[in-house]
Amino acid sequence: MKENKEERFKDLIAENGDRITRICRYYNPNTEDQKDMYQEILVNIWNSLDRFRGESSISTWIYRIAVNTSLSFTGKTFRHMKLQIHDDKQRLNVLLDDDELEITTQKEADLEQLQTHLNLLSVIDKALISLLLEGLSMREIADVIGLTEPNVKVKIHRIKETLKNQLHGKLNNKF
Amino acid sequence: METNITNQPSVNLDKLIGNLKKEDAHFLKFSLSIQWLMWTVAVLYLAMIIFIFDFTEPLYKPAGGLMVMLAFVIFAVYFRNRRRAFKMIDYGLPTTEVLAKAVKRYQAFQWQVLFSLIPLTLEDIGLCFFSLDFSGHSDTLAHFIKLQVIFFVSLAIGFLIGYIVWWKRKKPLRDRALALLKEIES
Repeated sequence: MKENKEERFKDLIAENGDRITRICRYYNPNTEDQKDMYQEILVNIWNSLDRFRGESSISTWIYRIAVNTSLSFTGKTFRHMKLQIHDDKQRLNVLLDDDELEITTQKEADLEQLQTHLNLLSVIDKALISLLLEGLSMREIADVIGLTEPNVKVKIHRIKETLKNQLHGKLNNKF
Repeated sequence: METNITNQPSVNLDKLIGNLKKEDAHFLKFSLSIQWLMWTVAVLYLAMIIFIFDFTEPLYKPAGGLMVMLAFVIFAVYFRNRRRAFKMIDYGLPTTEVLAKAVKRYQAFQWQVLFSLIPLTLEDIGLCFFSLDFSGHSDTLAHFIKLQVIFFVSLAIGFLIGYIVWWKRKKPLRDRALALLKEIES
């Protein structure tokens, strides 16, 4: 049974390592913190593995553990949580839905501006955005967080509107 | 939508698994140790009653000792279960469930606190039986009152220390979990 658990654990990490790494990179600016959070997620996967009954997909389960770990109350990840988007420029259109802003995201300064606004979001909004940047559907995000799909849609729409308004404000101030 | 991230943090998986297995084994060992301790105390006390107890003494004396021992056993089971509940946090549940459970887990007063009144009452009665002389001495009532004062003051101090510890360590966690839960559900 134990050996079986070890094998399952290793297989899971082999299949989902990149996914976990990306989540860690969203939340932590430096590699040491990323490593700490990565390790914390692995520990929580191990501790929760016996209770995984396959009621949700494995990716949803992994995302749940990653998000819940990031929200964990004792770890330093919570205090230093920052949404890092430097490596995900191609995904930013998912957040913006705006032609004018799409062009400006090519500029490093605007990207930094967006980064700043993202980091002003609440912890929960950051978690939702990180899942959106991961390419999860509204249904999948709802499964991870434990909300209804319409509720998630409303929340994400609200976040997008806030971001767009903030960036529009910046653009208008420029011209 | 995938990004090409190949540089996973360099965690030594075998070492980590080794540590996790060690921790699991330690947890199992702790649970077994508590059980062994309980059974050893129970057997020792039984042996003490049979071989050492002076049967010219009134029977309520060993009965009192038995109650104190029973209170100890109930407390041991209680703490073992509490430890297990903390160890068994399931991070694979939806975030709202994990937060709701955290709020419940870090509450100051829980039904388990009421459950602890059973062993505490047993301990109080047991101590009275064990240490008081009910053979009609005039100072028995004074001793009883003194014992009750000591018992309840100790209890109050214990609860106060527990509450301060909760206030400093657990309340911030509960408040944060509650705030996050409210935010998600708003």
